[in-house]
Amino acid sequence: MSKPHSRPEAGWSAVQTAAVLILCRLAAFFCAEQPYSAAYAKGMFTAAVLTAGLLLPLLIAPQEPLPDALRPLYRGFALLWGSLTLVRLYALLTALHSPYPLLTLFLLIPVLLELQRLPQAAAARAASLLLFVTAAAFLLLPVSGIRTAKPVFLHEPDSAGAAFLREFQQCGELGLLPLLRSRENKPLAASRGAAAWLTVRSAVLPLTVIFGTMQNGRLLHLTGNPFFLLLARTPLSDALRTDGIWMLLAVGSTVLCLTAFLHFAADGTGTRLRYGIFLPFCSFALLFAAVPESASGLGAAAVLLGIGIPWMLRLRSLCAGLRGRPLFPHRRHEG
Amino acid sequence: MKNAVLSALFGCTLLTGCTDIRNRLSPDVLAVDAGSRTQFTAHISQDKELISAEADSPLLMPDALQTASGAEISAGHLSLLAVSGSPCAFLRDYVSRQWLAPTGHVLFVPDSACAALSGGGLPTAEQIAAAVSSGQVPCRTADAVLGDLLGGSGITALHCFDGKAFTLALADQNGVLGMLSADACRGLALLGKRWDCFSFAQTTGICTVTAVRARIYTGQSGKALTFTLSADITCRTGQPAEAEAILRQMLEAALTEPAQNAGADLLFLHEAALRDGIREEAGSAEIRQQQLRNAGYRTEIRLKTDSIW
Amino acid sequence: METAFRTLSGRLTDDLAAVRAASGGSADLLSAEITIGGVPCCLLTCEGMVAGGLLAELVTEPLNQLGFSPSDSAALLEMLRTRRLFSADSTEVREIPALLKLLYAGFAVLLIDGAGTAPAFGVQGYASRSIAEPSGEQNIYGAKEGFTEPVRTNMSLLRRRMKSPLLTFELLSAGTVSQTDLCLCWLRDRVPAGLLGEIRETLSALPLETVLSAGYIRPFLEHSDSALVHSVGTTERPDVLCAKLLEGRVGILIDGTPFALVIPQLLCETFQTLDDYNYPPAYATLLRWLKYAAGLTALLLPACYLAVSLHHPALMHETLLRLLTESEQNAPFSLTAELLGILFVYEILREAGLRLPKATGSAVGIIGGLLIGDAAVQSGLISTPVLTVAALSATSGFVIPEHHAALTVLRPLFILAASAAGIAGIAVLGTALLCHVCATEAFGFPVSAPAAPLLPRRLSDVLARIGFRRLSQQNFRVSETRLQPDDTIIYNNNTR
Repeated sequence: MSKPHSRPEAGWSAVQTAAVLILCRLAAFFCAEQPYSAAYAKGMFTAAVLTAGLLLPLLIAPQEPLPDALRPLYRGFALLWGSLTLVRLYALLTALHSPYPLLTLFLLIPVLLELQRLPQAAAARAASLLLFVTAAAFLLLPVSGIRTAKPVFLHEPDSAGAAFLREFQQCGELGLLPLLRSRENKPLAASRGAAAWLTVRSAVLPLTVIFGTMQNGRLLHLTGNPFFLLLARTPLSDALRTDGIWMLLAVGSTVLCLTAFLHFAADGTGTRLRYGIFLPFCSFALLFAAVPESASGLGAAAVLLGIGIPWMLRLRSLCAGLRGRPLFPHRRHEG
Repeated sequence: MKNAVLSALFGCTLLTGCTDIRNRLSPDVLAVDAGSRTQFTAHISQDKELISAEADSPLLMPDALQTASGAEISAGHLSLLAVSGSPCAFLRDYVSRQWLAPTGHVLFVPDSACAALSGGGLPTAEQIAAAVSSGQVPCRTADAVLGDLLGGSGITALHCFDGKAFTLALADQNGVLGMLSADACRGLALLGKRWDCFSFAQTTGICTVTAVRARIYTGQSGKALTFTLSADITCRTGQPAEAEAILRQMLEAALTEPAQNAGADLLFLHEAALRDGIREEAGSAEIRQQQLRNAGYRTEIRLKTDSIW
Repeated sequence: METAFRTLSGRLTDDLAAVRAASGGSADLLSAEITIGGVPCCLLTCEGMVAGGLLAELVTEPLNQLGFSPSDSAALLEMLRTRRLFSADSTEVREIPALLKLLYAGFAVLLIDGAGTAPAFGVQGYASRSIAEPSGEQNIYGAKEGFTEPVRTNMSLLRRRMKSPLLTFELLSAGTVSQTDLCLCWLRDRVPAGLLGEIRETLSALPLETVLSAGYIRPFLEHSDSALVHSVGTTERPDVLCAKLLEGRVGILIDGTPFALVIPQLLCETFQTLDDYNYPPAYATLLRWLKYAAGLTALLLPACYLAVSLHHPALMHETLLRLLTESEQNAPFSLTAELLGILFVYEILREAGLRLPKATGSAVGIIGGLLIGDAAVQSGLISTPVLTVAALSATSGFVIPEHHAALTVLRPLFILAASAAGIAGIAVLGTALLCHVCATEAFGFPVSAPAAPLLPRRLSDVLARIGFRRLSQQNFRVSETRLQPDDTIIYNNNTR
C-alpha cells in the first residue's frame, strides 16, 4: 500500500552512523581467523590510530562534495566488499560447525532482497539496537574470563606488522565513509559517528584481542575462530554457555553489514537495479570463495577510497582556495 | 519479497528434512587406544552404556562409533578423553573439530584406556576436577595441553592416573616421555592457582595455603638463561619452617623437573623470558627444549603465616 | 432513486414521499403528522434510535403547547429557531441524504410545509451497552471504565477526565455506505504540526463501504496491510487514551466499537500498562523487564530450544540433554513436528475458547488439559519438555497481548529457520524482523523510537520506570520521536 505522504528519507543520526560502521567492523572481527596475540592488538591499535590521525582533519573540516563521477567507484567497492563479507560469513558458519551453511546462505539471499526493499534508515536503526546488545555482551565478557586470564601470554611472539596490514584488510567500512559524509541532510552526524567508530577500533577491539590473548594463550597455532575459542574457554558457568548468544550477535552483525553494503551499492538507483545487483554480488562472492587472492586488493581500495580520495579532494579545494588569494595579502597592490 | 523469504524457509526445511535427535548418542567419556589400529570405547551419558569400536585412525571416531551403535554420535559433551599410546597425536584435530571442548579433560592411561573404561577403573571428570581443586595436580584441560604442544616447547603434561593417585605425564607428539613426581605435581598445582584448598601434612598438623603470588624472572649471562621463581606464600601452619621447606621442595620440583629434566615449558618460561627482554632465538621446539635443559633455576620463597583471627 | 443532491422542496407531501422513497420504504422510519399553529408539519424519527421520553419531553410536548399561531411556515421556523430551545443538539437540514443521516443518528426531524429547511433535534436514546470494565487491558489500580460503542459516550468519558479547553473533538464520517461516525481527539497545544492534516486526508480517502471495527481503518493509517508491529495502537481505556493525548498523540474514536485508535504508537509502549505507574518504581521496572523477557521468550524459546537440541547440543547442559533425549525416545514424531503440532493445537484451543459460548467455554480448558496435558504426554505422542517449552512460550505471549498475532505468525517461522539452519537461521530471520520493525512507522513516527532513533533522555521510561518526581519534569512529547530531516532533536518543542 503506497504512502500518500511521501517524506524525504531522514538521514542517519550520529548513533546510527556509528552503529553501522562499528557493526561492519565487528562483523569482520567475528569472522576473522587470525589467532589473538599482543602483537595483533598492537598492530590493530597502530592501524586504528593512524587511520584516526589521517581522518580526523577531514572529519573536522566540512565535507568536500563527492564528484558524481566517483560515486560508481564507491558503489562498486561496496558491492565487492559485500561479496567478500558473504564469503567470510560462510567461513564463519563453517568454523562454528553450523548445520547446512549453504542452506543458511540460501535463506539469507531472499532475506537480503527483502531488506533491500526497506529504507536505509531501517537497517541503521536496527544496527543501533544490535550495537547496544553487543556492547552489553562485550561488557560481560571480562566477567566470565577474569579468573583464567594470564598476563604472561601477552608475550607470545607474533608479528605486529602483519597485524597492522591485516587491519586494513578487515576495515571495508572505511571505503564507505565519504559516501556517508556526503549525505546532504546529516553531514555532522556522519562525522560524529565516524569518530565513535574510530574510538571503538582504537580501544575496544584491541582490548578484546588482549583479553583474548590472555585467555587463548599459546593456542596461536590452533586453526579455527579465535573469538569463539575464547568463548569456549570462558563459559559463565557449566550450565550457562554464552556461545549461542554470541553466534546470534555475530551472524546478526554480519547480515546487517551485508545489508548496509548492498544499500550503498544500490544507492540512488531504482528498484530493478536494487535487485539486479544481487547477480554480480553472488558472482563475486563465488569468485572470492574460489580464488581468495582475488580479494587481496580490497583493503588497499578501502584506504584509497576512504582516505586517499577525500584527502585529494581536500587538497584540491585548498589549492583552489589559495590560488584565488593574493600571495602576500598584507601588501597593497600598486596600480 | 516476503514470499521469497517464506518460500526459502519452507524450501530449507524440506531440503534438510527433519533432523532426529532420538537416534543420537552423546558420549561423555571416550577412551582411545591409539596404535596401528585405533580402539575406541565410549561411555554414553544417556543410558550409561559402553560402546566399543575400531578404526584405522583416531579421526574416524564418529563413524566408527556410529557403525558400532547404529546411532548418530554427538561428541559435544565429551568431558573426558582418556588416551593411551600417543596421547597428543590427534588432540589438535579433536579440539579443532569441536569433539572435545577446550575445557575438557585429557587423561593418559599407561596401559589400555579402553580396558580401564570397560573395567570401571577410569576416574571420572569430576574426580579429576576434585583432584585439581584439592591441589593434587594442576588443571590440565585440553587447551592447556594443546597450548604447550603447539606454542610451548612441544612437550606437554597431561593428567595420568596410576590406579591410586593422580600424577602428570610428560608427552610430545610422538608419545609419553615420563612421569612427574608428586612434589612436582603439587608444585605445579600450587602455581596454577586453580585449587580451592591446598593443604599438606606436616610432622604435626596440617599446613593450609591461603594465598600465593608467584612470578618467574629471567636472567641471562652469555647464552645461558637463569629462571628465578619468586613466590610469596601465605599459609596457616603451626610450623612455618617445616612448611617452607616442604613448599620449597614442591616449587623446586615444579620448576626443574619438567624444564631441566625434560625441556618442557609448563610454567611459561619462554613468555617470561620475552617479557624480561631476552631476545628470542628463532628455532624449533628442540632448540627451545635444549635451552630449558641448559638453563639455571632458582627458587625464592617468602612465607607468611596467616593468623586465623 | 438517486437522492444525492435532492433537497427539500417545501411541499410537505412531496418531501415526505421523497424521504420515504430515499429510505426505500424502510419499516423503521416513523412519521407523525401534526399541525402546528395551522401549519402542517410531520415529525420524522427512526425506530429505536430516539428516546421516547426525551422526545416527548423535549419536542412533542413543547410543540403541542406552542401557545401562538404563526402566520406562515417561515414564521414558525423563525420561532422554532430563536424562541424555543428544544434540544442542546439542534441543527437544520436541507438535503434529504443529510436528513436521513440525522434520522439514523437518533435525531428527530420536523418537516414543515412551506419551508425548505427542516429543524432536527438530538434526542438520541438507542440501546447501548453500559460502561463496564474493559475485557482486555485489565488493571488492578486503574479505573474500571472502558469505552463503549456509542462515540458520544466515549467522548464524554474523555471529557470527564480531561476538563481542559485544549481537548478538541472533531467528528468525521467514514464508510461510503455506513457513514460511520469517527471522532478525532487531540490536545491543541501539543499535537505535532501537520499530523492532523495527514490523518484527515487519510481518513477522507478511505475506500471502505463500512467501518465496523478499528481493524478496518488501522491498515490505512499504518499504510501497510502486512505490518507485524502496529504503528497505530488501540486502547479500550479512556484513562490510557487521555495519557496518550497528553503526550501529543491523536485519538480516533469509532462509533460502534469500544476501541479507540491512537496515533502514533511506539513499540515500547506495548510493554507498558497503566498499572506500571501505580506500582513503586523498582517493582514496575522489574515488571517491565519481565515483559521484555517474556516477549523474547514467546518468540524465540521454541526456536532456540529446537536449534540447540538438534544442531548445537554442546550448548545444552548435559543433564538437560539427557532428559530431553530420554523423553524423546518414545515420541513418534520429530522435534520440529512436535513443536509445530503442539503450537497448532494450542492455537486451536485458544480460538475455540474465544468462540465458544461462556457456558461451555470451560469445557475447552478441561479437554485441552486432559487431552494434551495428560493423555498425549502419557501416551508418548509428545514429550514433556516440548510441552513445557510450548506452554512457556504461549504463556509468555499472554503477557503482551498486543503482539499475539505477530507472535503466532512468527513463532513457526523461527522454528522452521532453527530446524533448517540452527542458531544461524534464527539470527538471519531475527535480523530481518529487527529491520522490519525498525522500518515500521506511521506519519513519520518510527515505532522503534526512542531506542532507535536514539533519544537518551527518553530511555528512562523505557529501560525502567522512573519515579513520578522525575517523570513529571520530563514531559514526554511524541513529537520528539518524529523523524527530522536534520539532526535536531526537539524536546518539549524547544529545538536543541
